[in-house]
This record gives sequence, C-alpha cells and structure tokens, in this order.
Amino acid sequence: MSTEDLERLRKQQIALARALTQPSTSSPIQEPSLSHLDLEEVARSAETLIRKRLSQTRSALRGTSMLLRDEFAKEFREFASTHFFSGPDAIWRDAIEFSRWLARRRKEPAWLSDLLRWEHERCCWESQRLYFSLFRLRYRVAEWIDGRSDNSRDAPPVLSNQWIFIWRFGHRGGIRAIPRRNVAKPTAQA
Amino acid sequence: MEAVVAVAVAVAVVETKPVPAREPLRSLGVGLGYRPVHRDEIFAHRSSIDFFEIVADHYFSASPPKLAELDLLKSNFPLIPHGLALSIGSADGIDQRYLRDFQCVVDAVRPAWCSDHIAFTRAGGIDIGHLTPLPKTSASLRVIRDNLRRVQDCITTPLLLENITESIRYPEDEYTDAEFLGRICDENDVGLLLDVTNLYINSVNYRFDALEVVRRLPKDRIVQLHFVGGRMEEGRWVDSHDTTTQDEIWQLLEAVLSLAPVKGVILERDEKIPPLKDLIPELERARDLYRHAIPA
Repeated sequence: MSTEDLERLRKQQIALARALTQPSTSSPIQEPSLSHLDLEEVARSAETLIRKRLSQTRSALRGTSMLLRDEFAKEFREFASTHFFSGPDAIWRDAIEFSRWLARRRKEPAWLSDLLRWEHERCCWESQRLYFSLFRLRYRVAEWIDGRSDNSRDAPPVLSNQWIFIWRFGHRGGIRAIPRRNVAKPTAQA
Repeated sequence: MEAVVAVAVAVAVVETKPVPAREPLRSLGVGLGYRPVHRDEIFAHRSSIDFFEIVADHYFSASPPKLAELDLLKSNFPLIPHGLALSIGSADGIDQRYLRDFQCVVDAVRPAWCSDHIAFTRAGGIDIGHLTPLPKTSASLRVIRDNLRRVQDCITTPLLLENITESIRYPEDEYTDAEFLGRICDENDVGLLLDVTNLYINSVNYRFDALEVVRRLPKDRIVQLHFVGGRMEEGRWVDSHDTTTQDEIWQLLEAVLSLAPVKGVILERDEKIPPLKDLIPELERARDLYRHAIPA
C-alpha cells in the first residue's frame, strides 16, 4: 500500500462527497475515481441524503410544510439540487436559506410570505443560539482570548457569509467580534 | 564497549516493559438510545432500562437545560456517548474541533466506553451529514489506523466502532466484511459495536450470510450490540430505524449473543419514536435473550 493509494482514496472520498451533496452539478459518470461504482447506488445515496435534509427542514419550517403539503417537498428538492451547507448548523442553514429562496419564488397564497418571514426569523434565532451557547463558551474561552483557534465556524451564519470573525472579550468584559483581517496572526512565541 | 552493552541492555529493558493490561469492561445489560421525547417517561420505566446511549453530538453546543438533562441522566443511569461524525475513515484526517467536543462529553460522562462509526462523513471540506461507507482496502485500514491514533491520544476511554448500513459497495474491496471489521479491531485495539440490523440489511441487500460473518469475527472484540427494525423500500432493505424489530433480526441478535461475550445491548429507535411504554416489550425481550446467553 503506497502513498498513491492513500491519495487515490482521498480523491475518491472528495468526489463521492461532491456527488452525494451536489448531484445536479457533480455527476459520478464524469469523475474517474467514481466511474467504476454502481451509479444507481450513488444516486440512491444522494436521494437518501436529500430525504434526510427534507425531513429536517420540514421540522424546522413546520408551518410552511403544513401549508404547502406535497408542494413543500417538490420545492425543497429543487432547492436542494443546487444548495448544500456544511457544518454543525447545516440543518438551520437549510431552513434559513430555503425559506428565503421560497419567499422570493412563491407569492401565493398571500399569507405565505408572512409565515415564511416568521419561520425564517425563528430559524435564525435558533441558529445563533447554537453558536452562543454556554457550552461553547465554557470550553473555548481560553482559546478565543489567545486567538489561537480559527473559530470562523462559530460565527453566526448570517455573518460568516461575508466575514470571518474572531470572538474576543471587549474592554467591558463582553464578547465582541473582530473581523479576522484586523487580528494579527499569533506568532510561535505567543 | 561496556557503554554500548549498557545502552543495549537499557533499550532491551525498555522494549520488553509489559504494556499494562486494560481492565475488563463491565456488563451494562440492555438499554435504550436516549431520545429527548422520552425524558418525562424514563423514571416511570426505570427498572426496564439498564443504561442509556446518548448521542454525543447533541451535547456539543448544549444549552443550560440540555446540560442539566445530561447531569440528570448521568446521576441515574450508566451512559455511553455515541458519536456521529468523528469520520474515522476520512483520508483528510480527524477534525480536531469535533474530537475536542467529543472528548469534553466523554470527560463529563466518564463512561465504560464510547463509540462512533466505521465510515467517513467529511471529505474535501464537505460535511456530508451522512455515514458514507469505505472501501475495504489496505488504504482504508491505514487511514483508520492513523486517525485512531490521534483519537486514542486524546481519549483514553475504550472506543468501539460500529458497522454501518452500506449504501455503496466498492469493486476494489480487498477484504470481506468479517476480515475488514476484524482487522480494524485487532490492529487498533478497539472494540466492535455490532449493529445487528445493519449487518442483517447488508446481508440481504448484498446476498451474503450474516451469521457466517459473525462466526468469522473476533468474538472477544464484540462489546456492544445495536438493534431496531428496518423496512423494505423499492426492493431493498433500508435502516429506517422507525419500526419494531423484525423476527429475522431477533434471530440474528440471539445468535450473536450466543457466540460473543457482549457487554451491552441497545435498542436504537430514531424515527417515528413511540411513547417509551411501547418500546418496553422489545427491551424485555432483548433482556431475556441477554440473560439467557450471558448469565450474571
């Protein structure tokens, strides 16, 4: 077993991850490291993943799901074929972005936009609660103060789209966000 | 010359120093995968549940009520943390942040053992959010070995790895299921969390004898079992985790218990979760099998 074998495995895993999460843009047929696999199995796995996301998004946007019934699944499948989110808040990102996407797309019935706005806000709140939870604070404060940890994944999703932040204690003891570009990289001596 | 001999003797002494033997794991009995919807019912059925398996990931970013829930569980039941995304088969290596979070939960719970899956969930910066099978090759074994070393540097609690339902089979497989699982356990000193339902589903979908796989596994490595019902969809079994356990799976569970010195059995219901009282008959049936096979 050589380093080429390991590299081949790494490339295969990346290609498979793409084929499963972005089935509309990444076809296993065009990918040499996947072309020998049973394409039906790959497609079925991608479908399982979309179903799992659909079920989670239904729970997050319960009101919209009850209002649209089967249409909800149809719309979500279209959304999921071009959108995929990674990370611990992926469930909330799906719900947040899908509600935004759906609000732009569907104007009927009239109260749908109000319902979506409300559910969107609730999901944003839940997502941010995840990030500001005390458990994270308890275990990561020391690293944050030292600026040793790349905590870009800790930034609320609405911000992480545009900025990479480091959270630090402000002069009054509260936590404040500093854009990463304004933070000096820690040196080996530090 | 004497100095060289002295150094050689010293090296020999260091090399022959016995590795401290790990204490045998204690038997936990028959328990349940903890789901928050059952929180209010668990004390009413305290005597039917020997231990809980908790999803470690649910406590990584826990709110104060969630941490209080963990304290409540920890004070009243033995707990086993079960991870979902350690991604032990990831060729990119282990996510240090996930490992730290997992370690925090293990340190907080101080369990008899902890567990995750033989799979990868992350590659090229993409969190797939799903357990993806590995090819059964030496390259996969090497990746698992390297990743496990990093995990075992941080977590000294015994680790079990679970077989998953395979949605994809690789033509380049070099090992059979039993060989692959056996090598992972023996080469890395980890235990096996044998998911009987996953093994049954794979055996039906890919047409092999599940019991033969169990017979070929290193029995003393099988520490814990998972079981639950699956379902048929479009001509294939899927691990839906949403129904009562089928007879075929009970038979396989009984066979495994008669072959291996299992320390714990977990009913792992994830979807369409009924009230706890509806799961008690399955727990009692599993307990009968466990007691019959492994007398106290």
